Amino acid sequence: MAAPATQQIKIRCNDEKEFTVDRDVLERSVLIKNMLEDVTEQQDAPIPLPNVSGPVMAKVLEYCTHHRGEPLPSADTEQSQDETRKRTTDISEWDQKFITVDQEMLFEIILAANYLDIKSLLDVGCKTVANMIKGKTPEEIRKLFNIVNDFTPEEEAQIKKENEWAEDR
Amino acid sequence: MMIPELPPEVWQRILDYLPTDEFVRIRQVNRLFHDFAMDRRFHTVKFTTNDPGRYMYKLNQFKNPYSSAKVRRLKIMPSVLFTAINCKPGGPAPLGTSNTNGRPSVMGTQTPPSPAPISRTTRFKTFVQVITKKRPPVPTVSPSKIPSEAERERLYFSTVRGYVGLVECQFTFPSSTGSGVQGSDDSWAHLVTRLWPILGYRLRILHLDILFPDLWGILRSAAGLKNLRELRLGLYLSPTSGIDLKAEIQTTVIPFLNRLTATLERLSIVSESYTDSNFAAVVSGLHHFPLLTHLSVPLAAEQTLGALGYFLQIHQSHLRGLSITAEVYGYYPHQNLQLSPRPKSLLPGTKLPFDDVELASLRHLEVGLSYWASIGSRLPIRLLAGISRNLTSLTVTKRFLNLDEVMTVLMPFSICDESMPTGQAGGPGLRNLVFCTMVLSVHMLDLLARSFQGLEKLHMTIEGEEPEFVTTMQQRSASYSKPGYYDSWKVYDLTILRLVDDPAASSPVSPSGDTGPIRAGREGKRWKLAYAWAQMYAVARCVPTLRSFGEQHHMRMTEDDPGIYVA
Repeated sequence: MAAPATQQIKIRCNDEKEFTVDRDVLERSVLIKNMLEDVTEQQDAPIPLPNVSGPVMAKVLEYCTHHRGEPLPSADTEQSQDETRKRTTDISEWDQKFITVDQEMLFEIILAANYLDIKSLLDVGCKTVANMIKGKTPEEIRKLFNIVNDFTPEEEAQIKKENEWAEDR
Repeated sequence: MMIPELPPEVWQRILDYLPTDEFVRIRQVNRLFHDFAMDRRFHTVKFTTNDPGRYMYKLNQFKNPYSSAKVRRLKIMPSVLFTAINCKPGGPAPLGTSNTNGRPSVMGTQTPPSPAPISRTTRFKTFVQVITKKRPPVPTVSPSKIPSEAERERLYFSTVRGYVGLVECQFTFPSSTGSGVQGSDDSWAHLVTRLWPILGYRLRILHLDILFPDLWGILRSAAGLKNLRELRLGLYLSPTSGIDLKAEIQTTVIPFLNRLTATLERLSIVSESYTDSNFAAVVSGLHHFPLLTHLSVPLAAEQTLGALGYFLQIHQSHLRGLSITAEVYGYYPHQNLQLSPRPKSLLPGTKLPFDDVELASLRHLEVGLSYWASIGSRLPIRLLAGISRNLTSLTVTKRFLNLDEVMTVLMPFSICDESMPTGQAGGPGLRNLVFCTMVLSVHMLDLLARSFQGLEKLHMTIEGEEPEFVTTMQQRSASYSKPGYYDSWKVYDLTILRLVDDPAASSPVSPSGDTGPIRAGREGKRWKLAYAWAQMYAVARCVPTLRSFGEQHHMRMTEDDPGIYVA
């Protein structure tokens, strides 16, 4: 059965790079989906995406193309299902391969997924960072993610002194 | 390399994926990480120890108002708390080994109903402890530093007063001992009575799993619940205790519930009693709850259908979730559903309990079946299907269906069910379906694919499958038949769990997640649930849209079982 022709949508990134993409691929992004639903007439002008660069958008589109057609999380999904989902940091094989990028790109993808509201991609990114954090010392975590230690020396000493962590509440 | 900064909400999402034991380290990273770790650490506080040393250790953690302000959920076993406050240092035996307050059981010689369901987290923790044999050291305060009883009580209320961010409170009775630990309302009830003015107006969620007669005292004293959105009320109304239940229902339970009409959005009544007339009395006495969106009730006999039908009717415009589940402990009749193909109650001209009901907003329906089957009445499932045409999610628990029962129970919810009266079928169709079946068969799968074409998630718990199931599915996928068997099916996520006998497992739980036997013939057997990988892969070969097993968003086999064990 031949697939029905899908509408093509143009988008423009913050570095003027433009993409022409099938509508169902772009609609993985809730932000764009809502934009398209708000526009009644077909417009030729590209949708501006001022917070995403061309190379990052290319990666995001690669993800959206692979996952096109999968059901989007619905608004009436019960919270408990969401909770269950959160307990695992497993990532599918394809996603794992996809997200194996340098750290700068990883953070850019997370930011883009957050901005474009692509929940599943945001989850993949967040799980990857969570896996990177696991088992590391505070100093290693700061170094890895370029995080500034904003504790005063007194606060830091106090936190180290508190060693009540193993007990169950 | 220039690493971009992530906003706090994204960091929060990332840290959400970390297990609690990582928080010792991550809270030392910076303020943001620290705050998040503290949120998680103090989110839930349990006063479930009767040891005064442990109790004082807990209170001492909240000397800092910063920690107190983080508390969102409070779990209290009132009788145990009473013991922790009032016993001598070095005091009672640990919970679970003896009667801690020396009172006779209010349940007499009868086995008490199952306690409040054990949470998945607790189950998992217990499971880990069992397999690793590792128990964390129990921090405590030495007996010499434990203050007097009066001081312990004063400290308790001043600590709870500091929980300014509290939204949820759970009162429960000790589950490990069952009978014997609960007191009567002249002992610890004053503790609860004094809590209401402090906590009542803060609470959004309240769980009451307390055996009567203690429950009556709590309900009567409840005050200030002006903002309550969600209530779970355990009504363990055993008819053998010699108490006038009907009078208590009229004078205590119904007035308590009706005081919550202005704010309640979710109401869950849990019962383990056979006395449906009591439950019918509760439902009949309820007023209109204008904000109610989710209702969970232990409906059983037909005599309660009328009462429920009216309640549904006055809430039909806004009810989005409905759970009708039998909460019967220790009882499972293994008998086929005895149903006529067209229940008499559907004949034209018959006045039905749900005649004037149309739950247009209902999206989620859960049905527990064992009780209905046991009383041999006409199955009201068609009535439910008839009044809830816009369902997207259906869960059928507590009974393993055979193929005939699958047709009888599930087909009324299919949008193409031809046996429904004209005009009854319709709606967008189910997207999520959860049920248990005795035998997984190719024919059943074909039936599901035909009847629920819009299905996205399918979750089945099976006892076994027909011998040639995997082979048949493999042959189908190898035959390259065009069109394929399941080309028009949209299922994206599949879960097939199988019951496996396992002597190492603890007591069984039902697939619905609560305690209670699964079916006749399994009593006393120890078993667990495990993914049926061969069957899932066999189905995946034939269903082109499948991309995920077990809601994991991938299809890799893992060594892990779902971890559904119970202590």
